[in-house]
This record gives sequence, C-alpha cells and structure tokens, in this order.
Amino acid sequence: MTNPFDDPEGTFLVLVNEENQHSLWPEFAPVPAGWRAVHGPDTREAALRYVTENWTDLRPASLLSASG
Amino acid sequence: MRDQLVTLARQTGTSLFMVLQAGLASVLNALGAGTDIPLGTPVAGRTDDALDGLVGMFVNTLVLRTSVAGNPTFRELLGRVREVNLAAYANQDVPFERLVEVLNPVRSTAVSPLFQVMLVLQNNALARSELPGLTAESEPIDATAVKFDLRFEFVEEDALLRGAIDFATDLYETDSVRLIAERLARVLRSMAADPDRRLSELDVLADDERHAVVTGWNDTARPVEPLALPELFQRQVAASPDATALVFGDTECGYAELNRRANRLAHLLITRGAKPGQIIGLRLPRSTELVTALLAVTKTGAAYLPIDPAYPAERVRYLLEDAKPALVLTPELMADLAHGGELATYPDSDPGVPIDPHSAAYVIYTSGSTDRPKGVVVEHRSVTDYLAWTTRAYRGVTGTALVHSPVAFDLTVTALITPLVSGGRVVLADLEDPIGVPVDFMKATPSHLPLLTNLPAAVSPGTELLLGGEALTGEALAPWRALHPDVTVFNVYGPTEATVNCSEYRIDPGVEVPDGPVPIGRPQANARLLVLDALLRPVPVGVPGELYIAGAGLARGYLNRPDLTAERFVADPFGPAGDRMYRTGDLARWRADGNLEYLGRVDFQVKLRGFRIELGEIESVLAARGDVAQAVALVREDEPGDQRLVAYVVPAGDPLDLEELREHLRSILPDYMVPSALVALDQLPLTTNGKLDRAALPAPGVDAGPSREASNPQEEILSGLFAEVLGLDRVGVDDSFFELGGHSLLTARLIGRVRTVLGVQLSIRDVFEAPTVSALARRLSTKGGQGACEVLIPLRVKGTRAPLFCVHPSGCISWSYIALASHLGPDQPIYGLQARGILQPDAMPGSVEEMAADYAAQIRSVQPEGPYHLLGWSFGGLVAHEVARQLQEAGETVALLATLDSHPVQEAGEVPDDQELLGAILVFFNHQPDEADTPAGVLEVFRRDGNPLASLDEQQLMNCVRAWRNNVVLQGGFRPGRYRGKLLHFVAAQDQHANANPRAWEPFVDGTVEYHRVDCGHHEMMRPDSAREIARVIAEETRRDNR
Repeated sequence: MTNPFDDPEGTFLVLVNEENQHSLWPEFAPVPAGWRAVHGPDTREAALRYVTENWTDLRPASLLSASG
Repeated sequence: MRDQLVTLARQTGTSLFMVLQAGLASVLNALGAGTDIPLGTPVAGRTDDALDGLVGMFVNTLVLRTSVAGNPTFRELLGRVREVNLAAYANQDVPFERLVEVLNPVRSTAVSPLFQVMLVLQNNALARSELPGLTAESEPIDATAVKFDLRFEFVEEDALLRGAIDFATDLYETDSVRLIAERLARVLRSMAADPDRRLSELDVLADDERHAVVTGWNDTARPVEPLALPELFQRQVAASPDATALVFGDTECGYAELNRRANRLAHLLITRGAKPGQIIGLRLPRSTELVTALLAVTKTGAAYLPIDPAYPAERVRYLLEDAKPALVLTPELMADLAHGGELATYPDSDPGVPIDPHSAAYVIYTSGSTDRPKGVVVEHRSVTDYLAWTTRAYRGVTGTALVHSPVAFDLTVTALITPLVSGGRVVLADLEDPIGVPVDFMKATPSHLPLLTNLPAAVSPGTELLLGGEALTGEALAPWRALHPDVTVFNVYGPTEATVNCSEYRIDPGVEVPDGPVPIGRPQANARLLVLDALLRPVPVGVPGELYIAGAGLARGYLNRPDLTAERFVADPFGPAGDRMYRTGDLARWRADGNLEYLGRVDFQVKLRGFRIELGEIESVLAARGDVAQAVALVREDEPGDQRLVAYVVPAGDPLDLEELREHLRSILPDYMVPSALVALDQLPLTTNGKLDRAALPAPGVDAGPSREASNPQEEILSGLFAEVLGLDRVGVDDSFFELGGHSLLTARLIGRVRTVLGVQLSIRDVFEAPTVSALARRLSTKGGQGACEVLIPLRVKGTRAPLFCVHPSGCISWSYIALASHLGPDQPIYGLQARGILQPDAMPGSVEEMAADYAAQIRSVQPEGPYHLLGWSFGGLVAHEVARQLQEAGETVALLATLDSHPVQEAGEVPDDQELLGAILVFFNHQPDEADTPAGVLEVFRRDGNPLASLDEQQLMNCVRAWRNNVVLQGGFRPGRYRGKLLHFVAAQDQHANANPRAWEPFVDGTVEYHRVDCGHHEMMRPDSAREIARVIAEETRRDNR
C-alpha cells in the first residue's frame, strides 16, 4: 500500500491553516475544512520546496502573536 | 438494480459483465487487494463455427486484469475494463494452463495461480434439453470444495440480477462474505447513480460502520486543567513537601528539596539566557542532577533536549549541530556550578516564568530507518494533556515508580514526570540493581519481559506495568503474567510525534490474554485514531490500513524540517476545522469491538517472490510454542538481490530442535511464509532504549562454518550440489539446506541436479524431511535409480567460466572429481566422463582413440567450441591427452590439459580377472580389497557406505568390472600422439611409481610439461588436501589463460 503522501509521481497541493501550519496534500482528495491551498497542483518535490521556502518558522501563529 | 446497470453499460459502451467487473474490482481494492486486480472468468470456447455440431467441453478460463490505480472515475474505469476485456476476448482460445506455463508465476499450494477471485455472469438462456421419452431439467449441485478463494456468480432473470458467492470456508466466515456482498451492492448502486464519481469518493462503508470508525470510537474529548509541567510540579511540592520525590543509589531527595535545587539552577540558567523558545541540552547520566536539570529547564520556559551520554560522539555532534542548544548541561558543568559555589548564590524560589501552552517543552530525537535523526518538538499543551491522562489512568504513579531507561526517550515522561506531579516516588536504577523497595509502577518494552521474568519478583511492579514501543503478543506476556497475576498490564502505543502514547489496551488481573497480537486498544482522552487506505478513505473493520493520529497530543513538528513536518503532519479531513493528523507509518486494523490491532511498520510489510509476507504472523506462530521465548522474523538481503526470510528464536529453556520447529511452521503457514533460515539466539539484541535492534541480528549461516566433511562419495557429491545450488564455496554434511538459505525455488533446482548427477528422483518432501547432506545421502540410498553412470555427468553446471571436463580413471567412474568443485569455486562448471560400458555393455570401445572420439563428441554437446579445458586421472590422463589431440586435429584450441598421475607408456600387463577387479573397485572407494568377494557383497559394502553405485544391480556392477578390464586392455596397446601446448602433470609423490621417468610425457607434448608433486598416493588424488592443491594450480593456470 503506497501512502498517498509518499507517491513520487503524485500531484500535490500545499495547504495552510490558521496557525500557519503547512500540509502537503494529494490533489485527488478534497481540501479539508479550515485549510486553504496556497500552492499547486505541482509535483511532490516542488510542493515540498515551496514549504521549505515559505514556512520558515514552525511555531504556531497563536504563539507568535502571544509573544508579540 | 439490473436495469440501472444495463443502462450504465449502454451509456458507457460496455457490457453488464464489465460493469460488474469494475464494481467488484473497486470493492476488492477498498478491502485491501491493491490496485491491480486480476479476476478469472469462464468462456465457452466455441468461437469457431466448426465446433457448433460437436458435443464436448471447450470452456476456458480468462484472466481479466483491472487496474484501479490513479483514482479514476467509474466512467474511466469502465473504459479501462472494456479495453482490457476486448483484448482478452480476442485471445480467448489460449488455454489457461498454457498461460500459467508461459507466465510461470511462483506457485504455492496455498493460492491458485494468476487469480483467486472468479466472476461469472450467466446470461445465456438456460438450454432446455428435449429428449424423447424423458423430462430433463437443470439442477444445481452442492459444491463441496471451491476452487477459488471467492467466486461471484450472477444470473440475469428478467429485470432481476441474482447473485451468489462461493467462498473458501477456511479463509472467510459467512458474515464477512455477507458484508462483501453488501459492499458490492452499495458500490454498484453508487456507480449507477453517478458514474463520474472518483474511486476516492466511493464509500464501501455503511453509514453506521463509518460513524463507528471515524467518530464513535474516537469520542474521547475531555477537559484538561491548563497547567504547564512546572506548575503541576510546584503544586505537588506544595502538597507534599516532605515526601520523597527521588531515590538514586543511596541518596534520597524530598519534593521541597528537589524544587529548591531546580529553582536555583533555573535562576542561574535564566541569567545565562535560558528563556521560552530556546533549547537547553541535558547531556547527563541518569541521576538526581538530571532530574533537577530537567525541571529547571522547564521552569525557565526553555525546552530540554535530552542527550544520552552513551551516544556515539558522531551522533552527539549531529544533535548539537542540528538543535543548536543555547547551553548544554554536562556532569562537568554541573559539578563546577555546585562546587564553585555559584549555584548557591541563586534564590530557591520558583522563578514564575509564564509558560504559553504552545511553547516547546522538549525536543526528542528519533531515528527513521532511512532518514537522519530528526528532532520532535513537543509543546507544553501536549505534555499537559498527556499528564492529565496518566495521572488519572494509573494508580501506581502515586507509589514507587522505577525508571530504568535513559531519559533520552519519551517513555520517561510517563514513569518519571507523572509520579513527580502525583506525589509518587521515582527510583532511578537499572533493572538488575536490587533497590530494596517494592515497585508499584514501571514502563518497559515487550523485549524486557524475559529479563523481568527471570529477575527477582520484587523488581517487577506490583500495581501496573506499561508495555510499549514494540508489538506485544499474548505468548510474550504470559510467562511474566503467570508470576504476577495481580498486576494490571497496559499495552500502550504511540510515537514520540504524538507525545508518548495515544492509545492503550488495559489488561486487568484475571483477564485471559489469548495468544497472538495484543491489541493496542482504544484512543486515550483527546486523541483520535484513523485507519485510512491509499485514497485516504477510512477502511472497514478488519481491513489493514495506515494508522493516523489526531488530537491534542500532536507535536509541533520536526525541528528545522518544515518539509518533513508538512508531509508527516497533514491536514485532517475528519476532525475539527484546521486540525492536523500525524501519519505514523504503522499498519493497523480495527477489531469489531473498537480496539485496534497493530500490524507492523508499513516499511516492514514485505513482498517476497511476489507473495505478501506477514512477518508478525510468522512471529506469533513461533512465539505460540512453549519452547520458544521470543521470535523475530524479517527479510534479509545480505547479498544484493538475494532476499531471504529469516526467523530468530530464543529458546524458553532447552535448546530448540530447529528442524522440528520448521516442520511445525510448515504445518501451519503457507509455504512461502516458512522462513528459509531459523536461527537460535540466547537473547535478542536490544538498542539502548530497550527495543529490538534489528541491525544487530546476525546473518544466518555465516558464523556457523562448515560442519563435518563428507565421509563417502554420495555425501561428497551432495555437498557439492548443495554448495552449487546455494552459491556457497562448500557445505558440511550436517548443514541444513534451509538454514543455509535454501528456499522452495532452490529446492526444485537441487532436486533437478540430484536427478541429473545421481540419477535419483527426489521429492520436495524428501528435501524437507532430510535437509542435511548426510540425511539426504541416507535417503538416496533407499531410493532406486540408475546410480550415476551416464557417460557425461554434470558435476556442476552453474558458472560463467569454460567448463572443466574430467575423464574417468580405469575404474570407469568420475564423480570423485566433485572434490575439485568446491576448491575451484562456484563459478567453475565441471563435467565428468564415464565409461560407456557400464550402462551399455555392448558398446565398449575397441581402442583409446575410439573412446576419445566418443568423449570429444560428448564434450562438444556441452561446449561446441574451444578453448577446452581437460583433465584425466591415471588411465583417464591418457584419454584426456588423446581427446585434446583429436580436438586440436579438428581445428579447436585446448587451453588446459592436466594429467593426474598418468603414465604415458605402459607395457601390456596381465589382464585382471573379475575377482581382482572387484577387489580393485573396493580399493578405489577406500576399502580393503578382501572386504567382499562377490558382486552382491561389494554392493552391500557400498550400501553401508552410501556409495551411489549401491543402486546398481549385480549385472550392472559386473558391467563396470568388464569396462574396467577393457580399459586395462586398451591402455596396454595405446601409444599417445603429440599434443601441442602445455601439459600440467601432477605426480602422486607417495606412489611407488613417483620416481619413474619424470620426463616420460615429453615425447608426446609439443610444449612445456609442468610437474607438480602432490603429497599423496595414486588412489588419493581426489582426497580433500590433494584436490585442493590440484585445484589451486588449475585455477591459477585458467586465470592466467583468461588474461
């Protein structure tokens, strides 16, 4: 069983939630509530590159706003 | 439904059968059958009009392969089915048996080849047989045995579509087949309703099933008091200041004291810059200082990073570079701070740093099997949530808890921190160290169980034992539980990424635990568990899928690894908006009672020669036996491309009979799941955190070394054949074929080789029952056969080098040359040439030249063109020389000619009589000449001794004697010609003729004669030492030749 997130041939989106957490997401599946696509459809590699370039601080948004 | 499906077929240009096929393939996919679904179906086989008038059975079976890969819509899927089926119908006359023969899939007694599920649509009007004077009607027959795992049959009756399912009752229960039928109906209905739906939108689950696996069994929400770890600890300090918090060796430390120490250190760390958002390394051995430092760091708001001092320097360097801690506390630094007096200058009051629930509490590094270690960042909110669970769920944490593992692993959060926020007493000690007080609570791995069982009972906890980190079986738990019947055992599950544990299965005292895997239970409070398939659909109960975890325990992610975090912590379609779920890489399935079963790592699920192997199943069969304490199965690839299934067993007491154990496995498991090697170990190797260290398991059969050497010709030949088939240099007579890596494919090859070389037909069963060289040799002598008397006998066929052809001595037989095989290596094919007269007494040659011409033809049947490599012993040297000469005369090249103690010119001596020759045969096989004086007597000696000639009858033995005599006669009248090239001449140095004219060969050679003295007698040139020496020279010569 190949996990859909591991499929090197798959087409992916990058999703972001309110905490600015990023998620790789296979294009075939509907985007879950509370998430929006910010990148893709694209290759897995390119989607992950987007994540690396754009999600530079893994701390949740609520913590960042709390610490000002 | 029939009309709807027929309409769908019409709309999509397909047939009703194709619609049923697409639906069935979709259901099987959703039940875990993969994306390539082959189904069998019968066809009438009457495509030719000429058959119309013929009575007879022409039915054939077609294999229709449906690919459901890539999440197609039903319309697309039907298009695929149409294309494949039309191509298949065009070739429907190819008999199924022929297909199996050509494709030659790996066969197993457990599954039918190419497909296991049959689909039939009966859409011919039932024929009415009108016979004069008779009424005829079709009646169904009760089938008693099914041919396939599942067989779906549909019949069109007016507007109805009736279906029936035959199933193998040893594979399926009626209820599960009924469920499959319901799922198929549901899928067909939704296909008809909306053919543009994609497979991922297809729900094979009934509404109530779906509700249970997504929501019902995950209804775990529970409020948690929002206090961070330092606050929880401080509250406990206030509640029980004088109680003992920590015991380490001879020292004890009360709650208030521990808090004061931690506070001083915290204040010091704050002045050195520790604050929320930073990481402080703890490179400390398990000690009071370590616990103090851990508490101190959390009080500053920074996150602690435990670094086991036992880690290799390389790993420590990597951790420090990756995590970049602001400060690392080491024993040296702690000693400096304490003894330098600096620490004492700081206040012992709580620093009172406010802690945001979303700030990081700790960073723990985990190793993936393929990736470099990654730091899991766990936030305070998750720790708070986990502690809320553990403090409520475990009674023993208010008593004495033993912490025996390094703090670098998060199981310590359970056994160290939970007691410290509950008023319990934590004892830091190894399991083997007697601590003098009874233990109430402990967390360990299942691999610790044998140790705990053997240690004094006081070491084991008296209230609760938590087992986690590895799969637990009832068998593994039973011995410990028998000694500790009053203890509640929890099988806990959870990756570091979900904060220690997220599910548990509670086993109360007195509750029976059946053999086999112990479930990992249900989700803990505020955790949700999902088992999803490759299209992210929840799988039905009983179907394996990948386990995802959602809820409060989810870590922030991997330190400085946004890409890795985004691919493992992903959007959760089943929970509250914006939630994430962590995909574990673990396989699991729901049980009907809402408990989860762990099935192993996704990456450990292996396919071997096309079969899916459930390693856990093999392990539980082994562990179910009373004489096996622990068992591990895995697939090794010690040589690239050579995958072998290996099982390791730890005996419960007496040494194990591995052959008997193998037989036991064969009686329970399908043949492809029987390990090719069983290895007994005194104990399983463990990593520092107490889990099985797979990398440290020894490769089978490497350290064993060859056992006893062959003691008779038959054993010698067999050990040569074992070695050849297994690709080993040599095999001892007590070595088991399977332990050395033999598997069913290799067994078939071995049987073929034995048939060719020894003329005896073995069955697979023979090899399984007598898997060692010596046992199989004994069995051979009980089987009739032609002996090994063909003219050309292939002693070793494998290998890429030019074969070596060896001519028999006057004694007619060539299999003694097998002794060369092991020393020439697995890449060197060897053939023997034997006297034609043994099997064809009327075809005895009249001259050496005639004999040589016969052998040259035999040689060319194997190797049509030179350069040739030839060897002969004694009389055989003369013949080999003549063969070489004839081949050269025919324009071929000869790259190697070797003679073993051959003397080129011999006066015709006396011709020996039968009696003398029978004695000579005995001598030839290392017996005394007077051990027997009749053919029957000689055969009896051979039988005792495992000689392949024992299978000859008396007549054939006498043929051999006559052929021998013929050789003696031929030798007397023979004068060699001239051979062009180099001759390797081996002299038996201990023979009486050793000092005869050493230059005797030179007149017959146009080139050099190279002499080699071998320290043995004339008859002993194929003894192991001599053969080794001869093989060494030959190997050197052929290598030179190849350059």
